[in-house]
Amino acid sequence: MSADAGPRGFLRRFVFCSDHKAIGVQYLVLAMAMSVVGVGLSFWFRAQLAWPGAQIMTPEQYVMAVTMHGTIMIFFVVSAALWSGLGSLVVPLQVGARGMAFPVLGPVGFWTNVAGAAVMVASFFVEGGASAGGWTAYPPLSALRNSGAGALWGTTLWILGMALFIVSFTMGALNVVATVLNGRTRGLTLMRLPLATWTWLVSAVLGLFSFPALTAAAILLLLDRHAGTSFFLPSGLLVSGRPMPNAGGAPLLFQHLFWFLGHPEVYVLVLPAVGIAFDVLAAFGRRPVHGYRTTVWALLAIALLGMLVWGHHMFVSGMNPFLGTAFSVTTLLITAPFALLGVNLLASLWRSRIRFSTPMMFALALISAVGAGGVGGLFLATSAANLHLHDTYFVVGHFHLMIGVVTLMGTFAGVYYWFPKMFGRTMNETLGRIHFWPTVSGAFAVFVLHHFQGLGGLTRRYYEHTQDVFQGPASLHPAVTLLAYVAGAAQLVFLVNFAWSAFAGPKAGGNPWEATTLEWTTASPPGRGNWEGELPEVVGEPYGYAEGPDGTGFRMQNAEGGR
Amino acid sequence: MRRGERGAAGGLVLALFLAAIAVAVVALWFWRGWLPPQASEQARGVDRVISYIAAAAGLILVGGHFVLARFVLASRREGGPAYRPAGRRAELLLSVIPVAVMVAVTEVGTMVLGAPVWKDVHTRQPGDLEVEITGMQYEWLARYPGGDGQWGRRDIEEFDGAINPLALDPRDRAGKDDIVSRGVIVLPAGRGVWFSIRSWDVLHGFNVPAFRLKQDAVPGMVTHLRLVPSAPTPPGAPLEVACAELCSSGHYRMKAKVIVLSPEDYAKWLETAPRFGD
Repeated sequence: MSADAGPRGFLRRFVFCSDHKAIGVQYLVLAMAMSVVGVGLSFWFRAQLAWPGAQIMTPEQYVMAVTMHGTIMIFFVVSAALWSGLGSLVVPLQVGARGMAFPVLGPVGFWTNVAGAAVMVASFFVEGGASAGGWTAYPPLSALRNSGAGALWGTTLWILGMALFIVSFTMGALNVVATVLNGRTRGLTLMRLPLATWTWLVSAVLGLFSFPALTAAAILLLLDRHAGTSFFLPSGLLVSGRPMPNAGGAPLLFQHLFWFLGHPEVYVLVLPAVGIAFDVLAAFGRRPVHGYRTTVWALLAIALLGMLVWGHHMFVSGMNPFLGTAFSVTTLLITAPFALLGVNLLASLWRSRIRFSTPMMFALALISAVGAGGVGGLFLATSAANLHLHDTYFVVGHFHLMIGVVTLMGTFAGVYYWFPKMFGRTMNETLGRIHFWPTVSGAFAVFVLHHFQGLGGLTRRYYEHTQDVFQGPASLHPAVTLLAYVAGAAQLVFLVNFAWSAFAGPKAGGNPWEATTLEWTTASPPGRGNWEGELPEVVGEPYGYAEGPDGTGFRMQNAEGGR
Repeated sequence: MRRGERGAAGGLVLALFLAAIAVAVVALWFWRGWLPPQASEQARGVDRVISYIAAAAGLILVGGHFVLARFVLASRREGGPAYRPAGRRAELLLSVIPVAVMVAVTEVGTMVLGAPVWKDVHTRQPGDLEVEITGMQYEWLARYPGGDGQWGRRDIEEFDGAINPLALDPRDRAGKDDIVSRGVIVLPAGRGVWFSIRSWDVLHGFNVPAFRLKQDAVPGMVTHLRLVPSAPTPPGAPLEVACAELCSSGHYRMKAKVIVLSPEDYAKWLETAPRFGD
């Protein structure tokens, strides 16, 4: 492929475009569109929680809204924007490739993802409503078509939408693995990769290992629902007073299969956010990251241990208590490599000369969110503490900090940082600040308060908290809702900034941030084929900052340019 | 020069903000007693674990945020000390220390403080009172074996939502004196209770926040939980069960009351409660 003008015609250029940069932008736009649905649902049910007397929704609508909010935000917002969007955009550029290893998988994967999103949205309009069994879709609730809200057709479409998502993710992950392993330019050894690309590689491998378990679970669930099988349905079921004919199935089997993916999925999303933060911290702190090697080893350790901890979601599920202890131990072991990541993030700021641009602000907030999220994890991973905290707002606050706040801080840092590589322009800094402050302070306030509500035992997925014992923690609901509205509304500033800057932002040169990795050695936006003429040849480490006699220079990874 | 550099003042605000997060978390912890009242001996153990982690993790959180804020603050100074790479020794220490600290802190929490509680709630002791709990959309039922100590057989065909919600087989003599209590669980204070938990339909979570314990009710299997209620509940102020596993739209209203009686009152209740065979 050469750096020509590329194909012509609307369809080839915008719809079935195989250029990884365009696909990255398409994923970001998809994520923004789906975030309107996902965040809108949360605005709706947060109103119900804050003002239960107003009867803003029915209990059926409530369980549908929380189920679909979780599903859409995890798979069609965070994963689409952070993993697929920024990953498609950045990985080929950081490895010095003309494109992804399998260019056709790009548009096919993207449109499969769109189909999955469309099926999810369509499920609101089928008989019985959208799936309402929680984003975890535990059977028997999800396997019985007569079990209540959303059980008739919504859950079937939910399974279909998830299947399409998994197909799409698998294509993207294969592409990332092949591109990083086989598509690196001359001189770019694995230990010279920028950490962002390392995290995409590790998370792609992790996803490829873990998603098949969910695929299997989804197929078995579908069969239980429509083919009369009993994979997850035991004998002796009595639903709405009617004995069911099923026999021999095990509801816990689904939980094992689900979390065999579900837990690694957390790292699939969190690791790229951390990787982006490392790149941004170096570029705006004007010094190399601390502990590149130990970071890479920590990432690999997290990926390996991450596949051995799924049972910590099932401490009170009825799983053998001995297994609970085993999973508690492995889960707490994973805090060790995470602590290492945290220390390396922090130490990367030692003697830095920070340029406080918006990407850096988000990267710094990410460090805080990783710390706060990690601390909550210590409670939940301890099986004895989990006896009290399981299925409370403590869990809700914890996972929102990790797969909501950490991931979105990473996504925002990445979008503001790499925006020039999408549109050849930079985003507006003032709007960036206006976006940053309410987003970060609102998100922290909401999810930290969730933790304290959870200490009070406040159960999650409740339409209304009427128990006396919950009145104290539930009295915070209105305040939390208002804070969530502030943080959510601030995203409009981001959407406006994104759209406006794409067309009218200040033009960026090839390297507006004076960053050193390969994506900054080409034009903004890079043309088709990414580099005119020869591909860059890497001669050294990714983070050539603090160079020169006075320590303020920088060296590009291909040694051309720099100061 | 660069647009971002005018933001040095923003750095000061950000440093203060980061420190404030840590301070706010600590302040919230002490603001009020968040944990529900302790109504079981096991609650003390669970609370001890939670408090230990809060102290250890809180120190890490506060320390980390202060370091972060300090680095952000220090980096605003023009002409401050220039960057130099950390030496091998520093890098080694910065790797080994956090790993060792985290492993020590967390494994002490789970193995030293947590494991005894975990074992206690999962091990039946001689002399424990066995109570069967059944969850169904959207209510809780308790069953006691009666004077003979024998559980009556179930026969699903005998199910009757109004009069026989546990589908006890009327032909089984052992079931004649079983006591079935709908929405109210009566327990003696100071005696170990071994719950055998079942579900008719979907997953439910048997959860009494004041006991600090929960256990899923899973159809097709029997799960267990042991606890010792610490004291009789005052009249009119029973403990509350709140379902802790999503069971469709009525999940939020799947409640029950737990009344803890003195051993004497419990014995009296047991004698006068209606039997299944009556």
